[in-house]
Amino acid sequence: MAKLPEQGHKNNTGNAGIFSTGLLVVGISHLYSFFAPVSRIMKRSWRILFLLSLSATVSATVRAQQALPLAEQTYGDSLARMLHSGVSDSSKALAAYLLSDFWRSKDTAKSRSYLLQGRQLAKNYPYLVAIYHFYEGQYYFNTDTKKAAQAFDEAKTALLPLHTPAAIQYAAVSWFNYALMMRNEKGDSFVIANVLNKAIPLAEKAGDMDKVGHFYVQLATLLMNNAQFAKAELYNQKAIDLLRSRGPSATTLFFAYLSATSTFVFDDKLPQAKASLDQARELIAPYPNSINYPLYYYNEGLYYEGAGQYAEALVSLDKGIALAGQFHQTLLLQTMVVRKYLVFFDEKDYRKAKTFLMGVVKEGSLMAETNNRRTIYFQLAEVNRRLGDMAEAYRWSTEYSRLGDSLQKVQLKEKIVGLEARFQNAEDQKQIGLLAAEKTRAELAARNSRLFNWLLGTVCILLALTAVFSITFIRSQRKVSQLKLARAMLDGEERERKRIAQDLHDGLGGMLAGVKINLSGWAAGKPEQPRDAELYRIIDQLDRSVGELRHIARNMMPETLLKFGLETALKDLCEFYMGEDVHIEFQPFDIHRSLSLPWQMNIYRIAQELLSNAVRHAGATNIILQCSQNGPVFLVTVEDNGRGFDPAQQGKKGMGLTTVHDRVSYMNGKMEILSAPGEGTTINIELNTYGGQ
Amino acid sequence: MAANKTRVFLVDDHPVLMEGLKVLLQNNIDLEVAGCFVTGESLLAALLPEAPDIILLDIALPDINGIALCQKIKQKVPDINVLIFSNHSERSMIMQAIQNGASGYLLKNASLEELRDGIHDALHGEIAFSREVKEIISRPSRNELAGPPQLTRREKEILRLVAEGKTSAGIAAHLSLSVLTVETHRRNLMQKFGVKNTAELIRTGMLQGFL
Repeated sequence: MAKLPEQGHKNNTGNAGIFSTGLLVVGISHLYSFFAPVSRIMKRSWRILFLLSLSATVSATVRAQQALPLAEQTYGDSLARMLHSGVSDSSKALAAYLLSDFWRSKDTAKSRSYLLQGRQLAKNYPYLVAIYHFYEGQYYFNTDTKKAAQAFDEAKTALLPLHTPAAIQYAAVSWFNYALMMRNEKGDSFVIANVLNKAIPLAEKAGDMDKVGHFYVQLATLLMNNAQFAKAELYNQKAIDLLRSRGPSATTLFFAYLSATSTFVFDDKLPQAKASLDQARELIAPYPNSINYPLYYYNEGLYYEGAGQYAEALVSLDKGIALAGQFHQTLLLQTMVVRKYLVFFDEKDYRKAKTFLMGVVKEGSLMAETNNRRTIYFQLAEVNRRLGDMAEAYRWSTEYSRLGDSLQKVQLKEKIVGLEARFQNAEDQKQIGLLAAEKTRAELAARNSRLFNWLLGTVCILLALTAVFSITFIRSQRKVSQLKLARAMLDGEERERKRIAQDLHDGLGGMLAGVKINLSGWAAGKPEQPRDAELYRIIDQLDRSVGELRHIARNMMPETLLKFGLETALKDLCEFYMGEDVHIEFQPFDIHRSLSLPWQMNIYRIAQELLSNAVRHAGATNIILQCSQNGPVFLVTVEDNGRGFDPAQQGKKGMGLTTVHDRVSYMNGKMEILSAPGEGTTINIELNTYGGQ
Repeated sequence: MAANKTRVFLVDDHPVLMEGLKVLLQNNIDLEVAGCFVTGESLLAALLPEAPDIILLDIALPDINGIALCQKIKQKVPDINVLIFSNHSERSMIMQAIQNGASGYLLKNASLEELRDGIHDALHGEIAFSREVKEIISRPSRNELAGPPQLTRREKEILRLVAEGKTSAGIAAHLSLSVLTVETHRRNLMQKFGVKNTAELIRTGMLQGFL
């Protein structure tokens, strides 16, 4: 990169020094001190508030001061020479950019033509193409905040992949200017955050201490505008220390001194303000034609105002106003006009203040902006009130209110439009959201129903399985429990039967026998031997009673089973049922004595029931009872030649077979009933004695 | 006089009966009731010092059943006559009692004459039964005249199938029975006919007209 000729502008090497463009904003900041009070703290507070309400809509008319080198004339000339006689397109392009920046507040047409010329020359250089956006932003800086913000945004993006110190410097300034352009939208905190987190670190990374100092100054100005004077003073001091160590003649240092001056004035630290101001004057003194003189005069006026030297203040402000008009520094001009009025006000020279304000109204340049007009109306009302001209005060107050109303209306309308737009947008978003939600819901519903179906299916299958298992389990359990119950019942029944049988047999039976014996003995003991038929009839009745009792007792409990086992008991049973016209053939085969007593009892009961049926119900005359054991198998067959029955009709329930069936189940057995009317009955029972031994 | 009198022990757990029996025996049969016992244990303890001529023994006793007790008595004093005097009318009981050395078996509903006769017979070395007991004992003998063994329907079926040459497994499948059940029936059949093998079984079956 070509070395730029510089005069009276000590800076570090190369292009870095040319970057003074980034300093432009300092003027904007001062706008915020527009009505800032100087002498009285009380006044300060309301004026600051007032000022802030004004500042909100001011950005569109911002006219910032340019931070050109103090020796700007020679600077412009040297750039022009370089553009014409440059050795390369790249150096020419850079010269064109810088010329565009040089001219942008003096002659926008010239500025634009240089900008386009620079872009033409920069075509083949990515770095120069990237910084075109920066200079485009500079071009729009004072005229179109939005376009400027966009350009700076593009610049910092385009510079991101470039890692040369120069590119990083441009990136730092792009970040800074971008933040400034976004100030109205996002507020001071956004700017402060970007300065601290983006601009300053990038500048440090690029090694551009001049830029770092500049950013400190800007930071201080922002803080001052937010009435954070202590912090502002701190950053001002940092900037001054940094810049002084690098060379006392830098433009940035000049701005740092001026920033410190206003901060000190507002903070009522007049001696420090004076010192700073003196330093600034020392720096600018060699350049009487510098465009930075209006800013110097403004600060000088501010200082005098603060010091109560109103005449001197007015002189300074008049000088500044004249020069600002000459350099088209509109914002600064307005600031100083308002400042002048405030000096009159502070002086309590209300008549002069009023006359001055009326001049401003007549002149009209400050009246273009509604907000400014409103401020002026307010001040007119105020100054007339101080003059005792209440009618006038009321008139301006009404004007002020009316303007406020209409302004509010405009603002309201804008707000409404904005809100509407946002609402519409939100509505659209909502519609989209609703549709999306609808779709999602439909999908979800479909998926859910699919899932639900699966789930339902699975649950059904599970339920079915559970049901099957449950039924099987319950059945088996029921069977088991039924068997258990049956067993318990049968066992209990047998115990009870045994007890009752013994009671009958040995108790009642014995007693009856005793009665009979006593009676017989009594009768026998009589010497006359009364052959009374009646007595023997009674004794016979007793005999039959005992016989009947034995019968009952036997049915209750086969004593022989307990004493001699199943086979003997069954044999006795058969003999018991046998009579003149009933023959029972008992066929035992291999019945083991080792069978458990409950089993023997059960088999006995089965045989008893079946024989009883054959004798009593079937009217059989020939019966076979066959019991045979072969290992675990125990077979019982009862066959008769009785009248028979239809098993399908009468079923198992008939003829007291239910209990037989229960007992068979209890012994893991099977029962087969073969019968037909007139053909007798055969009942085959197969028992399995596993576990029953 | 007293020495000539027959001495008798009564063993019964029923005091009413024992009291009545005692009166009856002493008044009508001219016996000396030398002792009354409720348990078998007490009887056995009293047996040796003064053995009676005869013991009237009930079967249902609290500590031991009379039939078993009978055997113990006969083992201890073989000359003693034991008459079972019981309410039990099962043939097996009666036979078992005789087998265990009892001299007779009287049911408790026996008449005074039966009682007197029974004691008399027993004392003279005969087996004494009351009338009803005689009936019970005689019943099977009457029925045993039935002749050739009766076969059940199932046995006839199986015999027929065996004669047809079917195996046990085949028969089991045919009749929906287990093989073991069929085997059991075959075994029973051979026992009934008193034969040793299938060929004999079939021959005997044919001879007796079952095939």
